[in-house]
Amino acid sequence: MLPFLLWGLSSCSTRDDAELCFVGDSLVAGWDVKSGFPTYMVRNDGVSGARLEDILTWNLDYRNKDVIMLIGTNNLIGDIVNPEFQIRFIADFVEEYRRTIEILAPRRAFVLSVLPRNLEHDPSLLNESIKNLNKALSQMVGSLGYGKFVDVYDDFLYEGKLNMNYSTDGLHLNDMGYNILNARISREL
Amino acid sequence: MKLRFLIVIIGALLSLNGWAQNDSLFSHSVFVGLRDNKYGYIGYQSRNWSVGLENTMFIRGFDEQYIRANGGFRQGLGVWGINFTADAFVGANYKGRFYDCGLKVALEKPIGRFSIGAGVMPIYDSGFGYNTCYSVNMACRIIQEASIVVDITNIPEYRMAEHRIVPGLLFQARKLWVRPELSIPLTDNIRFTRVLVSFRYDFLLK
Repeated sequence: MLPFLLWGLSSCSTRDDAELCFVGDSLVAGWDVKSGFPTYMVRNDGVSGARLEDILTWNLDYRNKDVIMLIGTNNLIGDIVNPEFQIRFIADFVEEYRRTIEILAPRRAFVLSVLPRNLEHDPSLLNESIKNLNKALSQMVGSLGYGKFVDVYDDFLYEGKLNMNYSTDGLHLNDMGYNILNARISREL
Repeated sequence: MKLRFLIVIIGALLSLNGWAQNDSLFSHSVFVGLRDNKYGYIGYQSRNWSVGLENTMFIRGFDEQYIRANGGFRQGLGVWGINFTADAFVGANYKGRFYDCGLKVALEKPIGRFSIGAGVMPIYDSGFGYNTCYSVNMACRIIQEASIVVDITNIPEYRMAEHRIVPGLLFQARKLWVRPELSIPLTDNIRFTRVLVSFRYDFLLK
């Protein structure tokens, strides 16, 4: 084991030890990323209640860093279930997302899909709308070249809504929910 | 380059030195255990010296594992019943993304069923650079086999130095100790409180 350790030390380099930055809303703010990614340098830039357009107001510098983004649920409003509004909303949202990533200019961008919800007053078709939004997001991220869309929507789905085994309130995640995110992100890094 | 050479030398020396845990076994033993949920370890203790190796567990992906060599020494100073401990480590990520090393020097003073201690730990991480960490700890023995323990420290549980208060219980039964504790952030989000478990079992050698 000791020779292996010494080999590890001699091969160590900080060149590709990019910081892993998590940015998003309360789902990110409540994520213990230090514990979830113990061998990485991590930073949590999650802010409760944040909407997509807020990110660019935070003066973040993600150049040469890897970024994990999870945001969008606070942008969703009831009208999104209206088919005509939905088309416009998704187009605007995805364009804003692309602009945000391009301005942040990270080394790699991992975009997590918007999660399904299970709140009492949510419209019944909301999660279908989120699914459509994720499809469009996936296409946008795929076209970036340095982005990866991590689709966890189905992992959190149960009977068409957010699986309450993974959530504290129908919106936020518990430790089991965060374990799923940890596992999915680890696979992509 | 010099630093890397120094670390390799420390690593080689540690293979000859020791790693002391929080117990009072001073015989020869081989021990196994778990630290902070995520690090499994194995080592050898000979009186007040010991050596050990630990490796991450439950980390996804072979390349992302982390291995660390530990060495330690503990000695009663013979003055006011104060105990001295010195623990050094050097570690690296399998993939070679980073390495780190550190040396913790601490003093501990038992006062009846209580004990207090403090230590400093210069630590270097190839990603974060140099940091001087601290640890202040108190313990109160409730019964022979169980104590309440509290640490206030910024020694990294993973890689980042975080100011935390860590209350817990220490159960000791001959060759086994188990330490469940809560690690509560002092400056970060309180929701990032962690439940940590550490244990060690000694196989005594003749």
